[in-house]
Amino acid sequence: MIKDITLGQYLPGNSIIHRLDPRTKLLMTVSFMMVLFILNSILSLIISMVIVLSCYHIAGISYKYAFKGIKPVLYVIVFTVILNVFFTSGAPLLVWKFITISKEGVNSAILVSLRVLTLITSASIMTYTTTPIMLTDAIEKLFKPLKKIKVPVHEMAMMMTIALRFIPTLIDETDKIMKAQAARGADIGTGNIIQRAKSFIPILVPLFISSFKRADDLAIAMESRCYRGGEGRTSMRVLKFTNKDLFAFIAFVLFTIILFVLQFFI
Amino acid sequence: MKSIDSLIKTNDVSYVYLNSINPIKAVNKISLSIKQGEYIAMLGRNGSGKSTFARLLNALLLPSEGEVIVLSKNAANEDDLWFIRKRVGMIFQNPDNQIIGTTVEEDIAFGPENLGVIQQEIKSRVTQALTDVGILDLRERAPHMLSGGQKQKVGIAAILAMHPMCIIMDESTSMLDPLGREELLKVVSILNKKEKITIINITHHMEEATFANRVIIIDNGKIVEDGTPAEVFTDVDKITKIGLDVPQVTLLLHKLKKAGYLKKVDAITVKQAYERIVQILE
Ligand SMILES: Nc1ncnc2c1ncn2[C@@H]1O[C@H](COP(=O)(O)OP(=O)(O)OP(=O)(O)O)[C@@H](O)[C@H]1O
Ligand SMILES: [Mg+2]
Repeated sequence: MIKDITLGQYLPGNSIIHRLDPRTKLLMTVSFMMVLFILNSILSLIISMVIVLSCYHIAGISYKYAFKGIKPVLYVIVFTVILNVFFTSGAPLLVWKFITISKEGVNSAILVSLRVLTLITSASIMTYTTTPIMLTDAIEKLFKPLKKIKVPVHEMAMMMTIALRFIPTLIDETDKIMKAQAARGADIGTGNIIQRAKSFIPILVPLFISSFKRADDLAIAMESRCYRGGEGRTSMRVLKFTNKDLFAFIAFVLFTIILFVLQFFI
Repeated sequence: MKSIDSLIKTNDVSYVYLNSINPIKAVNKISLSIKQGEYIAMLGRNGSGKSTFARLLNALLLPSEGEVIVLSKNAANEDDLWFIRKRVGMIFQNPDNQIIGTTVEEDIAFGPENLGVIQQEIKSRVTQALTDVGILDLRERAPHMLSGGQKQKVGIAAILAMHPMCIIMDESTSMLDPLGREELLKVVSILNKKEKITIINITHHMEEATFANRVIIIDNGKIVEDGTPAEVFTDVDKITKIGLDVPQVTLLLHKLKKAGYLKKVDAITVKQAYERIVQILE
């Protein structure tokens, strides 16, 4: 049951997007998000959406997955649309009893929903095509300059790696503990909210204790394999920018320029 | 490789745990010399000090008294710490808690990465280690998708990638089923024979001791027996007094001796015992 939770959303593949350097993908996604916030013409946003969807196509990921990412925030979108449509004042478009729908309202509702949809689908395409460990690597490399001001970049990346490594193990363990407690007659997840919260204590306590034991063991195992922090450490996975990344950057810049040109001149 | 007569040497080494209310002397003046290529089984009751002693050997713990010398380098010398840990690798009891990488391949690379090996060489070391242990097909698996036996093999491969001269297994077979245990021991035996890697297997399974060519029994932080399996196990009474079992075949021969059929107990494997019994019958 609980075991079915998959970690990250990586969908293996061998497309050009999969093979891009994770740093490229991370940088482009973050900059694209900023661009989306600046854009406020419907046409530009529609084109952005088309660009993102064509990335899905290139990566060989079905649009179904694009929708999957949107699903959890669908209510939020519907809610903001309603808010925008009914509560933005401006030139009335439709008047019915006490309800007035303004032209500006419709406009901003479309803008906001398009923006949110594009934001989410673009962030998802990155997680669909990059393994969590690659993302960790990218973050470590990109934030490396912060080491100069004593930010423990390597340590944070190592913590992320270990978390990624142990999440499935801990999920397994939670499952076991739940079954063990259920076998002792604990009913988990029934009753009112306080009872339900309380029923998780017998699961969390053993989980906590065993996690500390694991952390202890792991520290010894790491030390015995000569771990001594990031100093002088090499890596098997070496990130390398290639022509693909250059090409992706150029395409990205071109599209961004086009989007802004469209916004300001049309 | 340098030919030095002893790989690991301890001189009156002691270790005292100070963190509990009354200090515990877990290891008490052990002197011993381990040669390259030896296969040692280390036995002893719970709490006899085996794990503590093992951790002294690869400088995870530093002696309270006495000294540990690995390839003529002193473990107390901080500069040589990494040299020693690289040469004397260790795998532990719980296979889950020693895998650091999110895939098998990454876990095996962890050691060489720490040693600052260049990327190309790391890759070839990983491939070699996986091949030596016979799990090349598991290269890209995530750790939680492995069986216990496979995880321990990953543990061995992870040490091999650091090019060790000694592998210590601290009850590494205790969480495995008989088949997994047998396979792991087979891998280790091959490494011992082919690569001349010294093996120290800490175990509670007497049958595993028969694979070794030297058996050390520790009790109360001291070595009480040290010799070939045949030598050590013949003294069945003494071993039982320490609170340990002897391999079943040895016990059988011991009973036969008591009943007057045999002069001495000198068999530890089923095959040897079979030969002795056939002799009696003839
Ligand atoms: N971290 C610790 N702090 C305090 N005392 C410890 C610690 N680890 C072990 N000891 C004590 O040191 C003694 C030897 O322990 P050790 O773990 O070396 O025994 P062992 O032979 O490995 O036992 P087992 O077969 O149970 O693994 C025991 O009395 C134990 O209680
Ligand atoms: Mg122990």
